[in-house]
Amino acid sequence: MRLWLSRPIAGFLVRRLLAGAGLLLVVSLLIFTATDVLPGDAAEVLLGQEAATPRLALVRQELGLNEPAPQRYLRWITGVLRGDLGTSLVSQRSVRSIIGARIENTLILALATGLVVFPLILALGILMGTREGSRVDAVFSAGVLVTYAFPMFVTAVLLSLLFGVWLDVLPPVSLVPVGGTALDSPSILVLPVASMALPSVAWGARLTRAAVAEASRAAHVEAARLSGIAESRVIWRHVLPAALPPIAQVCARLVGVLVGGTVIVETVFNYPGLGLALVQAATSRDVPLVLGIGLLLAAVEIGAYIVADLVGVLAVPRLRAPS
Amino acid sequence: MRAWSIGRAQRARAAWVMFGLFGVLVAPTILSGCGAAGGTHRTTVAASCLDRAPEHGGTLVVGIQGSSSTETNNPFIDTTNLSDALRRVLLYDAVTKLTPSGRMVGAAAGSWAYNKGLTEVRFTVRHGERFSDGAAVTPADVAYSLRLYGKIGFGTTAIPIDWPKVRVEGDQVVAPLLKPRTDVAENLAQVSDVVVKAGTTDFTNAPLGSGPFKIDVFEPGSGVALLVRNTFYPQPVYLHAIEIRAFADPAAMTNAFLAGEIDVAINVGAVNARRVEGDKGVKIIRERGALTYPFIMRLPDPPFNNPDVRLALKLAVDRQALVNGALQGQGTVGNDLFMPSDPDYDTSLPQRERDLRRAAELLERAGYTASRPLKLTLWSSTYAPEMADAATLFVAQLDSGLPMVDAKVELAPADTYWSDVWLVKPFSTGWEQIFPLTTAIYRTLGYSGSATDETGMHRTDFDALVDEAVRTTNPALRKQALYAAQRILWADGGYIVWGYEDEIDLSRPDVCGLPTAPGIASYALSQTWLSR
Repeated sequence: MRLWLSRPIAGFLVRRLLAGAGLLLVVSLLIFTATDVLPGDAAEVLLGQEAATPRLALVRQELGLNEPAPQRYLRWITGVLRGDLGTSLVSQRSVRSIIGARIENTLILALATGLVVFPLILALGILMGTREGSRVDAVFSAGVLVTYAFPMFVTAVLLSLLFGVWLDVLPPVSLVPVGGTALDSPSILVLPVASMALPSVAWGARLTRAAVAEASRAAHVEAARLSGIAESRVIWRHVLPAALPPIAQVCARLVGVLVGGTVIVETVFNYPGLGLALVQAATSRDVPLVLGIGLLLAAVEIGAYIVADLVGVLAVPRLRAPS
Repeated sequence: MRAWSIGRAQRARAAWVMFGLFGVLVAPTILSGCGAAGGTHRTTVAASCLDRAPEHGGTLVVGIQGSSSTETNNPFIDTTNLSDALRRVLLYDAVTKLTPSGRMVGAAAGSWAYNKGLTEVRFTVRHGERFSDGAAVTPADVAYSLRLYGKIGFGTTAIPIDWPKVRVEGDQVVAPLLKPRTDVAENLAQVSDVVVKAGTTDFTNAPLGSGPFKIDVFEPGSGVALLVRNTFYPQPVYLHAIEIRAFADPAAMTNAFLAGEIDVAINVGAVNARRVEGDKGVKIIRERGALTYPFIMRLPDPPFNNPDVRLALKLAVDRQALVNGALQGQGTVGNDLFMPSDPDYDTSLPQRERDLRRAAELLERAGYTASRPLKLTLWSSTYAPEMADAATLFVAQLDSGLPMVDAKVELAPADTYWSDVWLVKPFSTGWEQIFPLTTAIYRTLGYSGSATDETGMHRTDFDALVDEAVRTTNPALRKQALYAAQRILWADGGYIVWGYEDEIDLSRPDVCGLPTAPGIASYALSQTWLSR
């Protein structure tokens, strides 16, 4: 209790949160600018061939696209501060409703994948890192490297074809039940989770291995071993706390991937999440929707890194004092 | 003891760890495979639809390409999202509509008539039409909907109605015409002129329609909709419900179909169609002439202002090779004309064949030689992959077949193609979907004064023939005029229409009554039924 309320920790949190808010503002500006400088706009995408007619000017006016970019951005940001993420230029629905329809699916997929990925990363990382240079380390490292070498879309397509079409033991696509969620039919999550878990575990395990290996080489760990403490206790009491800060950073990065980096899996398995919605919005130049989803994903990733930094500070007492 | 040396106890622990990892990865697979959830199944029963009366009941699960994040409840907006178009056709009646075989019939309008001077068309609203809440469809509803469509719908420029002045007179809706035409009803069947209740302005939720189905469950952006039969619909509807699934990727849609997750997959594309060729458990519905990707030569711009150059390029193309290459063989050879399924398509013209010798002679007559070649840049886009493929193949044909031609392909971004390239560059690749022939002519295919006249042909005789065709109610005179107009287009126009792409749908054998016409007619599932 005293630890959580200590001034260094509270001060650290406040600084990180303020910095995170500022970063979100910068991210929103970057996303807006990046989408705005792309050739074409939502009116051209909507009209298709009719974009060559005088109707283009009318539609641009209706959508507010003929306003200067700074004015459009200011209008959007003031709306966000009131809780209004704006209206999709293409579908004319509120951005909040579009995100709301998909965020539950995204969270379910992310949590299901996380339940598989994080324990495996920890287990494999400890297994390899504490046996650095051994045959076990070599075998698992090779396996992890081969897995990591496979692009996610290859893994996803192969799994879908193998288990969904050829063997027909799992659904090849993730059709969420009408009026329900993915949890109502858990089997539709297996292949998407596997597709995301394999490269994530491979990437995370390698980095965790490195962190554990480096912590294992520390003098205090060697001293603990030499004093006769059991290896398992050495790992849990001495190695892991030292390795925790970099492991927390790895997990924070993976949170961002699991929530926002799912466009390939969502496309192959037709899973209605936020990743594909973001890509479709960008393709349609639907700036409010791009901004809304982008801001949400950025907030999740920034939040994950703040938590990771906090874990690091809690694990390493010398970091608690302000520099 | 070094940390990495492994004794017996440690090997045992390692083995347990590996066993545990294996279990974590494999157990969900095994358990889920054993479970009932997931619904993977394949039908092996080859049911027949022939000689059987339609059966009532059942839920048809339909897959269609769609960007679910752009789904909208506003039926007047054409987002190019096919799942929106499918819902629109099933939930709403329009003034006129297309049957599953592509025939135009009255929907909200029971009949229509043009006045003598062709300055207006009067639609008599059909009695018995009801919205899904039982309220009658009134002339006020139809008039309001037409005015609203004219204001916010797409494709309005192709139909010469003075939209703001549409009015009600008794049980009729009067639509003033900006141009004398007798094919307005046919045009209205192709666009999103749905009928909603008068005064509807809020599209946060889908407005009530008078179509064969109504919404049971639909959350825009979810990619899934469940429609149930509208019990007030006056005509027979056999299915109890239709479940619509939007797919971003046609390959994923085909996988879902092969696994039995969906009953019908609409417009799977040529590559996926080849995956199921020869599979007796799959019914392939091929709708001919759904799309075409012509090469467009703008006549005002050199070198295409020279008729010899235009004809030479038409003779240089290997049409079958383009169909085989760009369309994966899933199409038919074209003859430099459009809308082959239109009843007024000119079938009397001979099929233009590749003739490199004649093409070379024409180009030499135009002053081009191997040392002074005709330099061409053919613009294209990945708006549709077939556009880019066709352009690449054609340029290769020109370079290999005609030494006096030096051609290259330029790909422009899909987002700005229709504003920066189309109608601007002298030589480009087009995209034409199915439309009534006269509408297509007025819109893009050569009528002078159209804002989207693709080739800039500006032939007054051509214009006069088309105007003559749309003013007559005599089918023979109409055909005669349109045949003459098409001969001009074929002989002298700026189009190389090398082929037509088939729209390919996949269906389980026990799904009967599916549409056979391409385009918007392929969504007319009101007469579909399930054979048990």
